[in-house]
Amino acid sequence: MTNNENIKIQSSLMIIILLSISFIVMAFVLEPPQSLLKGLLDIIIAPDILLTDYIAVGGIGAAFLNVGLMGLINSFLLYRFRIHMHGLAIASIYTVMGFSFIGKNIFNLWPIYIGGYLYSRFKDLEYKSIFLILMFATTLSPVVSEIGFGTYLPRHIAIPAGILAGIVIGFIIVPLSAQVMKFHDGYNLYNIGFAGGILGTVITSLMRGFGININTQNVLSYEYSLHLCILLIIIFVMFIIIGYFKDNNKLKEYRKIFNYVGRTATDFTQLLGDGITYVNMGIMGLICIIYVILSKGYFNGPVLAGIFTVVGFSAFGKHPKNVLPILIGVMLSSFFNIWDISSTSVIIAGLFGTTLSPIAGKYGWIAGIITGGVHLAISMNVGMVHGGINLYNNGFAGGIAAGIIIPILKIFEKEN
Amino acid sequence: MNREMTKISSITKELINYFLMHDAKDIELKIKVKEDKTEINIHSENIEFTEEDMENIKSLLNVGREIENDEYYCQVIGVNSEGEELSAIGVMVDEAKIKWNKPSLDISLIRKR
Repeated sequence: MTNNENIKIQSSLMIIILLSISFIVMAFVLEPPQSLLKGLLDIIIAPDILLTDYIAVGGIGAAFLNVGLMGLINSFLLYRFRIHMHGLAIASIYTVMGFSFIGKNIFNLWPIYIGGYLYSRFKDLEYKSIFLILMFATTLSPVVSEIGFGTYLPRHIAIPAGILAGIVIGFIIVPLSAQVMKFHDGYNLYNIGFAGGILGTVITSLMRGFGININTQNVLSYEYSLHLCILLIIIFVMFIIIGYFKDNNKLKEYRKIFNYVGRTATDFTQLLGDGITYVNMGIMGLICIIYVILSKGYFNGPVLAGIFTVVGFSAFGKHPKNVLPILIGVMLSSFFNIWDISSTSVIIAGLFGTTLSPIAGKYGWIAGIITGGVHLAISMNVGMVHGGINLYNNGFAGGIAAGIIIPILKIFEKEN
Repeated sequence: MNREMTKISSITKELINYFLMHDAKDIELKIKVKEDKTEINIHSENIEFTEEDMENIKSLLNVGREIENDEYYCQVIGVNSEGEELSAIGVMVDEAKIKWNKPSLDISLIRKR
């Protein structure tokens, strides 16, 4: 590792650390310490099934505290393992921080990390070589909470059982995610969500077999929408400014980003540099905000999770040209079907539906718009299959959609 | 097949896809598995290749090894038959040499264990 790389790791990590500290400071400004601790405890013992908005569960201060702590914990681990802060690492940490508003917390991530560690020892792999996959694999962390705190089992049995389930998930998720990649040819960016959906379906089916019912829920907050919107605008404008100052003489090359299809190995930090990447992250964040406002939706935990995930993946494949057709497709189709365009479920189907942006990148606007519509229909239905224990429900839906759409689109490809 | 050989297999598959996508009329592939590293060489005497392709491939294959992306990128490459994942190969190899002598192209990669 060169000195320059060391500096790069420092500066990219510093942005995340500062963002995490900002969330913690805001938490203490918004609520007194006692209330924060109670809220954080409520978040930890909540079953976390989709959709569980931590702002509604523990209050906005506790939710911010959880997000900030999750950012700091994962930043420390990234630093400890000397992981380069390139596209995949940026995508993974923003995804984790986003989902720390709706299901990931400082308790339920550890069993999955421990399971992954055991897998790396068992297969004689370096732990850091699978750590980023494990960060995404915390999509199934609600399993830990649901078994630990959501069943009728006595706590002294339920909590160890939940932890054990998380360890087993961490142990098997890496080979499982490799297996399912083939189904969608890499056109579903949230592949771990697809793997998590399949594994979650198996776990939920087994639990239902024992009489433990798991069903999706709708615990949402609405009262801080304007404040959260303003906060997001500030963050994303800052990203654009940071990007500008990182390499200002290259910003005219921004439009080069539109040449990339955006499939699963499109690392903009490597291909175009950190400056253009941060500008793209900021622009994409602002596009998401406009999308939510046009949909007349609320900014709450799930919507923030969606926006942070899109922004993270804007370092790893997403850009306006391949994302907009999907968002338009979701909006257009919601005009013609039974779902309310302004509901949180439909809005996050659009935000997370951009997991399919490589289809728009490869096959164009019309294919992207149709894909958005198909994705919305699937995502509104598959949650009940895994009962909401897979947080990346849209990654699951996106995998199914891509697996069906890609072979059909290939029929119409020219042979030469 | 162990994980390391699976990764070598994925890298070679992606390289072959790349050459075929560039209308290579003949392809020679050589893999040397050694104790401490694996050497991969792919060569075509007749391939459609441009200056832009050369610049692109040079930057993508020389990004430097990143252990942390090994498992994830191993899942990605070789899956699609369109040879678009060269950047993933770049982070999975320690050295890359590209020789282009129109119309022949030769790529040598070294991946240390």
